[in-house]
Amino acid sequence: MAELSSKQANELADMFLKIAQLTGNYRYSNSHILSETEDLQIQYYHTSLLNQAGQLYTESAALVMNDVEPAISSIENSTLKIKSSYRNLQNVTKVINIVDSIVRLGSSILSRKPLKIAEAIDDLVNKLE
Amino acid sequence: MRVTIICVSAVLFLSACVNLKYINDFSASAIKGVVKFETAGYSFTQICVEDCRVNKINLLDLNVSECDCKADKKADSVTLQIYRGIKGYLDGLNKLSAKKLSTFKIEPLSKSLASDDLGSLQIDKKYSGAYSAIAEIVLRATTDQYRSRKLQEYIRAGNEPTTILIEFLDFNLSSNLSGKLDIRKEQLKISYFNLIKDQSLSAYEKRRAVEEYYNHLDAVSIQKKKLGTFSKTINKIAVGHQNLSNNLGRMSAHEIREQIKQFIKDLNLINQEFTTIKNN
Repeated sequence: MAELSSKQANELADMFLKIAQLTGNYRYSNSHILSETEDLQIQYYHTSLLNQAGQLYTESAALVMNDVEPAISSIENSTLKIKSSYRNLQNVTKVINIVDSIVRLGSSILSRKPLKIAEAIDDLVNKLE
Repeated sequence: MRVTIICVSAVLFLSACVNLKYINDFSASAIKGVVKFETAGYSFTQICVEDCRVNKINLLDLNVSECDCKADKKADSVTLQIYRGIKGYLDGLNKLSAKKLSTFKIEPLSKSLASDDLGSLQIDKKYSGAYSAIAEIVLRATTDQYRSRKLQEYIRAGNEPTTILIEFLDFNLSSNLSGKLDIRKEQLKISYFNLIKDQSLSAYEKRRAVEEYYNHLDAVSIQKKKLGTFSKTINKIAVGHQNLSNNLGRMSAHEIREQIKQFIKDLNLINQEFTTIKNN
């Protein structure tokens, strides 16, 4: 037998719930004429129908996976691309800061001040880490 | 030539900024709405455990055995996976469109250019600031243009899966979980009907039972209202995303601004409904 779709399982659950509600209403309206055995029997049916409806709603929610699997991989793929662009841009910021350190290193070298050169190298190494 | 570059950069910068701001505003509001899922406590497992407990009370069952909620856990994991897909995507849009992503530390560059250590290469301090400003505009224009172009691409690609995921998140909550709450109402009625029929209870005990029944019904109604409000929120997000996807790069800045303003206003109104439900 072919597997139910999430929508079909949900429609069945709605139907079971409606039948259960009708069964319950019948019991509530006629309790005065029902024997104890009949009353228990109808209550048993009422509860069973509700349980089945509940199981079908749960089943339907799980079956949704079949409907959304391609959409989930597609959105995850988009999210990965967004994150990659984000990282690239963060790298741009990092590159700018590194370039700035290189400019300072260059100026230290040009000024021929060893202490400044050492400081600038330290700074550059820190930026690269 | 330099003036032309600056002007072109400034125009590109402004148009990219417009798109980025709208995408950022849209995604920030959408995230605020969609995270209600985490705080509202919508769960199949929770309903299963509570129903199981109600059954045990009805049957006067003191056996503290585990309730079998495996199927409900699976339903929750599917729903959670859909939610995470949507949330992750919106977070990505929000981060990539954030203003701070293209804020560069230009000030040190300006100091370097004006440094006394440059000797004959030294640039006059009054010009070093101008060079830095130009560098900043060009840098931001380039990165903002890149971001704007990339985001338009991602939003268009993300539109169909977002629509599908929101549709099924809504289906699981508004149809399936809400259906389970309707079942809860029926079960409550069975329990309390049996109590009222019980001739060993006094009139006072029966009245207390009826009061308890109405309190339980109110709790279920609040849960259902929350589901209804959440459904409105995510459907509004789906429409907002669709509009963004259709109109980015096509509509005028003014039209998009109006559209996003309306979107934020609508979401805020729905959010107020949430607060009202909580306070009731």
